[in-house]
Amino acid sequence: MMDNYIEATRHEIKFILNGEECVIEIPANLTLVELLRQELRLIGTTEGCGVGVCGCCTVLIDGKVVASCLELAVNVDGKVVLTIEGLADTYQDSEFHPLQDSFREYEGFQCGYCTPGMLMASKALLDQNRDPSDDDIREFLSENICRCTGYDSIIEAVKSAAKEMNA
Amino acid sequence: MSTQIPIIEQDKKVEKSGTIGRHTLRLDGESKVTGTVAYTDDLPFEGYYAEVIRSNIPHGEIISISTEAAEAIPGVVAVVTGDDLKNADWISPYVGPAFRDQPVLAIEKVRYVGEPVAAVIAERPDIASLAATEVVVECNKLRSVTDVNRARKKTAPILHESGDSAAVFEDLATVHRSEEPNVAYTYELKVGDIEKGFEDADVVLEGEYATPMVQHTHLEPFVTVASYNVSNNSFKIITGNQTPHFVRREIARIFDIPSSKVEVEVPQMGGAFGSRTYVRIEPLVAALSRVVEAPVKLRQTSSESFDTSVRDGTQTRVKTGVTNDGDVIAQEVEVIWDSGAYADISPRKVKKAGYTAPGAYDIPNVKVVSKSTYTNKPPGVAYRGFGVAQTAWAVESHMDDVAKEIGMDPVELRIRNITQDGGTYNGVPIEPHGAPQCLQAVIDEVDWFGSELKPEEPKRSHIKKGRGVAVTLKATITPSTSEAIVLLDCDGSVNVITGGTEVGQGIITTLAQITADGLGIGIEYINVNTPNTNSAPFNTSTTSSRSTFHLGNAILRAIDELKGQLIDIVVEKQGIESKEVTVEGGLVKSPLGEESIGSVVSSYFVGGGGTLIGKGYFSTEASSGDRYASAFWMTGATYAEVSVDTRTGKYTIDKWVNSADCGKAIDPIRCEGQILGAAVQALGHTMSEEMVFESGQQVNKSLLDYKVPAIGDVPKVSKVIVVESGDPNGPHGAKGVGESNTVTVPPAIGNAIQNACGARVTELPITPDKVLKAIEEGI
Repeated sequence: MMDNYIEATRHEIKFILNGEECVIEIPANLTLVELLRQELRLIGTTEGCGVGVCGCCTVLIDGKVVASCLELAVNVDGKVVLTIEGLADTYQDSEFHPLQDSFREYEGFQCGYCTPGMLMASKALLDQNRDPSDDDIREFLSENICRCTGYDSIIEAVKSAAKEMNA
Repeated sequence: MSTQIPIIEQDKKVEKSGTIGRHTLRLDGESKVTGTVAYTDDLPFEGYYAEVIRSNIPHGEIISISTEAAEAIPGVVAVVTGDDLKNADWISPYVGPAFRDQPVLAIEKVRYVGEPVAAVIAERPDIASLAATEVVVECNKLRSVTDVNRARKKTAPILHESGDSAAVFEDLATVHRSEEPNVAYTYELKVGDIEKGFEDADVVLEGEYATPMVQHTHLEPFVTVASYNVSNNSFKIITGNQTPHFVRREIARIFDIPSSKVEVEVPQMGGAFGSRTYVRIEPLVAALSRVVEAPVKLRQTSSESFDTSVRDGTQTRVKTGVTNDGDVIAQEVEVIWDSGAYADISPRKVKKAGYTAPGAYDIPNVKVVSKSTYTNKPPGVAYRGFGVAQTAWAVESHMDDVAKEIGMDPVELRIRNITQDGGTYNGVPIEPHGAPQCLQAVIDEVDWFGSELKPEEPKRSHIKKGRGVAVTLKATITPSTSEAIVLLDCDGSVNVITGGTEVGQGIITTLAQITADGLGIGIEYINVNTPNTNSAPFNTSTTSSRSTFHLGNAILRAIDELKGQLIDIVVEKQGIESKEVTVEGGLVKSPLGEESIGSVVSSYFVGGGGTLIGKGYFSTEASSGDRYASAFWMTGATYAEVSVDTRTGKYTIDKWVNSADCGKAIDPIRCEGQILGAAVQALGHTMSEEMVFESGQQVNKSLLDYKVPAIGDVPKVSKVIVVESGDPNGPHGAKGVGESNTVTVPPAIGNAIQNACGARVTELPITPDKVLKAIEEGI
């Protein structure tokens, strides 16, 4: 029984990861953040609380915000996954997404541990709301904790990116 | 209070990178917004994984630890217990910066729920986790004590029979264990004649205030990799730690090897806030690596952070003597610290925060008693604010109580008693500190004396509005040392090597700005190295908001030395007087012409290159006796405006203003980020954060139940004021700014609530039930 627990059944999954098809065989109990970080070595997605509260591990599945520490990797079979590593490529031909530029400009980060999750959630917001108000931003980012900045610089950064993208 | 306060014009545009006082894009920014930055867990690793087995009782004697079932699991390499360390000839298994009272793994006794008792080492992390559940620890339960007052009674169970002084730090050289039961260390301060002070006072008021244990909740959990190299008996430790040189010293000591055989590398950290100071899990992981003679990684969960390091709880009694005119002439403060099961740095905290327990005020007669108390709880360590956040909660709340008692405006009382720049504090002269300017900045911003809050309309009369202010004065770690090496390459580019660690505060960029300015070159030519003790010269710590001041000064000295060498080279080459040569704008200028600094280096060496090396040492002087000298003083103030629903006790913060004195802003945007970041962290301590214990066990040991501020919790109307008083000893006048508002936010909000509805909540956090209770009881 113990061995069965460790060696969970394996499944092959196929999904689109940052614009490219990814086919991989994984154990059924692997979480998405483990798949990204351990199996695929995409270290940009960080794991914080591990219980779906802090938002560090936020990625987009079919455009929706998901805590990848709570999502079993097998569930992304057939879906489209976007992580911080694919963010810049979603915006025209520029080297960085406007959110990445504005987070730098306004110092919408300090330690940077929450930043990939914060950026992915912000992208999901801007995808559905091109001109968010301060309150829209507060509402949408309510599940992404930042322990360093005090948040105001993040609000400024998201608004600035929206402005840039609407220009 | 008529001084013109220098408040900088905030310029959010990047104008000239590297320039002092202008916003400069952080050098680590690109890596952080693209996710390519590497924290410890991100680095490639080949080796074994550890999992810790923890005590599930608060106090007990270990009878046996059965490891056979765990060891039988395929993939398990070893299970290590305190017994393996206790009798080993290769390790002295006790650590600590003040007393060596903390075992690497529990030896004979456990002293808190969550204490590491054993560790499993396995080929995979999931195997280690599973095997850890198979380790059975049998204990004989002992009586436990979790309350600081009970702990000091003669009948209390004793946590530590003895404790060896670590004798590492000068300011702790005279620290000795107290005779009182479970008291690790007592600090006492007497200024003037306290009894006469109270006799002369028109009004004497007493109050008691308390703060609970809280946790730093840095989002990156503790991760350490240790690799023992059996061939030369050396260690490499990769760890998120704010004090790599202390880690090196401690690892070298416990394994009895030269410190040169311990390499400590510190990658970027996902927040720290004091949690990653001195040694945390490093000695354990090093010991595990030593046992299996292979690299071992321990990645704790975020819940385990609560088992590893917390902020001391406090119970504080304040007694103040004041004249009818509002002169505070006597103050007695007794602070009892709930420091948990191991002292860690508590003796310094007790002393340093004890020294400024009377707040930012110049009081002629002062008595302070400050005691660090052992309890069966997780160890209290350094936390942003270093104890002053707890003492100021008491004294700054009390100042409003005193003002109310004598019928004086609380800000007027503060202005009347605040220690002046160039004034005295605790009876001795104090260096310029900026506290009056910080207070003035917030009251000017809101026109405190010229405006009143508009009450709610009659149908909403259950909503009461109020406003409050708090101010702080906090010391930095003193004495301490920072050193810097500046390497100038023959292409004119520069590497800066220090032991300063990047916890998120932006020190890499701030140091690069100082270097760029010092040599007159663009910041794009500068690299600030990740600290590695094999190359980085000594740095006491990245704590106490000391880095800009201390490392900045060390770098300026290194640059001076470097410039001297450049001048010497040109003098020798050109046969001129050294006074005719200057270095500015990246050029060495003499009457015979000018040459780039890189080209001067290039001309000096042969063989395809060369490096000119400037070094700078910067140390601050120790204080004597019961005084606590400080290399600089951190000051700040907070104004808060609240609406309290008197039917439910719920309150909202409608507006807040936070000011702090940074001396001189090397980068104004980064200073703003420190001020607001500190304030919002303290907003959590004010409104929700509390480690809740039941029967010695924390019951909210997860971010699910331990609520830190989210984006929607931050007051929408906010103003951050960067005060620049110019520190006489700081690089360009700069000093630390990272902690002041961690101190001032809770009492400012508490005072605003009292102002709104008369309710004085004396114990953090200020939850609606406490507000309602205080309203109902008419406190």
